[in-house]
Amino acid sequence: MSAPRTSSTGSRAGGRTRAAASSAASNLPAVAAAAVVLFLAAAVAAPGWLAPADPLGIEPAAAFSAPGPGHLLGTDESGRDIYTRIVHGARSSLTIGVAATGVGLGLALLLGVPAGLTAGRRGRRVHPRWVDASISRVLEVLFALPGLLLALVFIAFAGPGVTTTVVAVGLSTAPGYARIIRTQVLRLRDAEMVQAARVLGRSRTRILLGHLLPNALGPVAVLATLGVGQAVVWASALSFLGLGAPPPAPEWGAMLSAGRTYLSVAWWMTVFPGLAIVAVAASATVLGRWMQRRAEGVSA
Amino acid sequence: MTAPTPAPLVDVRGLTVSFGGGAPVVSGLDLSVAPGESVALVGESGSGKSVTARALLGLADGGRGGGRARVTADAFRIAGHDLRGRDGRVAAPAGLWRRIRGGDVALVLQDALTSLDPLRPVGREIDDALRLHTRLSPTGRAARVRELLAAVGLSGDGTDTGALRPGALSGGMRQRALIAAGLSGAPKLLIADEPTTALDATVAARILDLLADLRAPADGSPAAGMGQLLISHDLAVVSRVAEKVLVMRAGEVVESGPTAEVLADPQHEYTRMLLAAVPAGKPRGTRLCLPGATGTTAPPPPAARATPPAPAPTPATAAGAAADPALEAAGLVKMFTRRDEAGRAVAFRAVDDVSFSLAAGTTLGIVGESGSGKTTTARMALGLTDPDAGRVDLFGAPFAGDRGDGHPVAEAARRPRRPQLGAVYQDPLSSFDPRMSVGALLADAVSGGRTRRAGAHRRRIGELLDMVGLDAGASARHPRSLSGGQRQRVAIARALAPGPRVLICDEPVSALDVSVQAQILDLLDDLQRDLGLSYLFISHDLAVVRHVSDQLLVMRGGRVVESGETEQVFSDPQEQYTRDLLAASPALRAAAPGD
Repeated sequence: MSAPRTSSTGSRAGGRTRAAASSAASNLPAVAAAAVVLFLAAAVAAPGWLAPADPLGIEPAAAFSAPGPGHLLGTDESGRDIYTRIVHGARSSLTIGVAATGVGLGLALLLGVPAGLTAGRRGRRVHPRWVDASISRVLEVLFALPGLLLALVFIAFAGPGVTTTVVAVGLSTAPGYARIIRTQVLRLRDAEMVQAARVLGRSRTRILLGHLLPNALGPVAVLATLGVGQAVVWASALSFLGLGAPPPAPEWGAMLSAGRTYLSVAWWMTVFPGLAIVAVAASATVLGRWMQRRAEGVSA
Repeated sequence: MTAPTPAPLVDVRGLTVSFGGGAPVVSGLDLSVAPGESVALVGESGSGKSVTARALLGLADGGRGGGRARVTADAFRIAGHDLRGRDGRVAAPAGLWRRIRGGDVALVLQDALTSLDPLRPVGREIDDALRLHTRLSPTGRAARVRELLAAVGLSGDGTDTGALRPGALSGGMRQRALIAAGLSGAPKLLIADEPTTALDATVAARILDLLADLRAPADGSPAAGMGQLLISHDLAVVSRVAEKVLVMRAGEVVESGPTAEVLADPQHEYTRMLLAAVPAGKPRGTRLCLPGATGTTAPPPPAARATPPAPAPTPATAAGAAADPALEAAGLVKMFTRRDEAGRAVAFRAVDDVSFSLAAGTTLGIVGESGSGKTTTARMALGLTDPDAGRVDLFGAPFAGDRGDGHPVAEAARRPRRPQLGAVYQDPLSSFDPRMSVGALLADAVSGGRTRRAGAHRRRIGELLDMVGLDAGASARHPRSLSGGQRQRVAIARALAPGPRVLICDEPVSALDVSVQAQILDLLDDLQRDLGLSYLFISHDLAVVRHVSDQLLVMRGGRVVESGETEQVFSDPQEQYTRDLLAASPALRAAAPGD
C-alpha cells in the first residue's frame, strides 16, 4: 500500500475517535432514555422485585397519604400505593403500547406490501393495478379521520376492554405505516439490487422476504419506536375515557382518570402516572431519533 | 525590458489546503493561467484537483470533509486581486469573494442537473447572474440572455430555450445552459470541473468544441481572451482542448508542461500510468495497466501475473463465431410509452428489431448513446424484461421471449438456467443489498441464496476474491467502505459465483476513473482468458468498447445501425452515425508511449 493511502486511513481513524468522543456527549439523552427503558423492562418482567407490595392491596387508614417515606409517591383514595401501582401498571400499559404498534405494523404490511408491489404495474394478470388503487383509496379514507376518533368508533362497535384498545389503537396507526411501507416497496422493487437478485436466480418469494421486506422495514422500525410512545399515550387516553382497562387494574390511563376527581386534594394521584406516560413517550422518541440518526449515518 | 505580456489571470504559488489540522489535501501547488489560455488539471478522484478549483474561489470550506479548510499560499493572485494575507493565509472579505465568483471567475460544475434549480427556467437563472454582476436594464438583460444562449448554441430551431426548465433539457443542453450562466458575468476565467464526464461522447465533444470556441478572440464573443481551467480525470478529454496540463496526484503536481510535450514524452511514472490507462487506440488484448505502475493503486490480480505478457487474439474469435453462439438474440422488439409535449401517451419502439450473436469465448460490444436502447436490450437478454417480439437463446435453448410456440419463456423455466448467465452493472453499490457485507453477498451468490454466512463457504469466497484481485480480508468489509474499483471487483466476483459462462456487462466502467477503469478492463480480459467467458459488453464509450470487443453493434434510437468485426467497423465505418461517433470519441492527440 502506498504512503499517501496509509496516511489518509490514519487521519480517518483519528477522525473516528474524535467523532466517538463528541457522540458520547450527544448520546446523553439516548443514555437517559435507555435507562428509563431498562427500568420499565424490569418493571414489566419482574414488577414484584421493584415494588414488592400488592398493587391492589387496600389500606383505608392510609388513604390520600402524600408522597413520603412510607409511600414514596403517595397513596390513592383506597390507600393503594401509587409507586407500586405504576410499576405494576407498566406491564399492561407497555403491553398495550407495543401490541398496538405491532397490530398497526401487521395491518400496514398487509395493506402496504401488495399496494407497493402492484402500484403502476400493467401486468397481464398477476399485478392488476386496481389492487394498489383500492388499497390507496382505503388508506386515504382512514387518513381523513383523526386517529383517536377512529379508535373510538371501533370501540363503540366492539365494546371496551384491553384487547379492543390494542386493536383500536393499532387500527388508527396503521394507515401511516402502510403509506411508508408502500412507498418503500415501490422504491425497492425496481431497484438494481432486486434485478441483481433476479439475475442470480432468486425466486419472487425469496426476493420479497430476503431483500424487499428487510430493507423496506428498516425506516419503518425506527418510526415504530417513535410510535410505541404515541400508542401508550393513546391507550392511556382511552383508559382515561373509561374505554380501556377496567377500574381496579393498575393501568396508567385508568389511574389518571381515577385521580382527576381528587386533583385538588391529592395531586400525586394524577401527576405520577402522567409522568410515567410522559417518560415512556419521551424515551421512545429519543431512542427512535437516535436509531434514525444511526441508520442514516450508516446509509450515507 | 521585455514586451508587456498580459498579467496572468491566475498566479498561484505554493498553494496548500488542509482540513481540520490533518495532512494537506493540496500541497505546494503552482498554477498560472494567462488570458486566452486553457490549462488542464488532471488526476484521479481524491488527487485534490477539485479542492484546488474551489480554493481558487475561496470555496474550499464547502468541499468534502465538511471541515474548515486552511488555505495558505506563497502567492495568490486571481484576476488581479491579491488575496494573500500577511500570515500566508488566503483570505478576503466576503464581498470581494462574491465579486470574484461569477464576476471575474466562473465555475461550471460537473452535474448540470443538480447545479440548476429544477423549478426555474434556465433563462431566469442566467438573468439572475446578470442582475448580480451587471448594471443592465431588464430589457437589456433579456437581450443579453438571448445572446448568451446563442453563444453556447442553445438558440436553434426558433424555440425559446430560456423559458424551459432544466427537466425539459437534455444533459448536453443543461451543461450548455450552465456554461451560459457562467459566462453572464463576462468572466476573465472559466473553471470547469469535469464538464463532460456525465455526457455521451458526441455531446461531450460538442461541449469541448464550445469551450474552445469561447476562447477564440473573435469580435463580439462574450468571452474573448477568456482563460480556462479544466479539471478532469481523463487525459484524453483535456488533450483535445488544453494547451497546458498539470498532472496531480495525492495533492501534488507530479508533472506539468505543454499538453503535447507531456503526452508525447511523459517524465513521471504516474503520468505514464495515466496515459497507458486510456483505452483509445489500444488493440484488443493489450494491457492497460503498466506492469510496474499497478502498485500505486491496487495489486494486480493473480491471474494477471500468470498471464504471459504477449497477448494474442483469442483463437475462438474468428473460428467459433458462427459455429457456437453462447447468446443469440433474434428480432428483439420492446415498446414503451412516453408522453409527448401535449402530455399524451405515445408508444415508441425502445428496441426495434435487434439481433445479435455472441460467439463463445468472445466479446460482443454494444455501443450507443443514452436512449439508444442498449440497456433495454441487455435487460431482455437477462430475462428481466419480456420482449414484445423476438427471442433470446442461451447456448441454443430458448432463454427469454418467444420459446417457439408463441408463448414467452416463463421465469420458472428460466430460473434453473440463470447460473449460466451473470451480470455486472454500472453502479455496483446499488446492485448490492445495503445490509450485506462482501462476505454475505458472496455467500448468498455461492449458495444460491441459502445462506449469507461467509463462514459456510470460506474457501470458495476466498477463491472468488482472489480471482478478482482482492484479499480475503475484504470478506468482512462492507461495500460502502470500499473504493469504486474495489466495489466493481466485488460485483464481478459475485457475478462469477454461480459459475456463469456468459457475462452481461452494462457500462461496467463508466463510473470509474480512467486508471481504475484500466484495471477493471484488464481484469475482465484476464478472466475471459482464464475461464473462457463470453461477454456482452455495453458502453457509451467507443474507446472502451473498441478495446474490449471482437464484434461490435452500434445502436441508435433502438435500432442496430452498424455491426461487424470491431476493427472493421472502426477502420471502415459504413454509416454516417458511426463516423460521427468515431469523430467525437476522445483520443490522445499524441501517440501513447511504450507498448
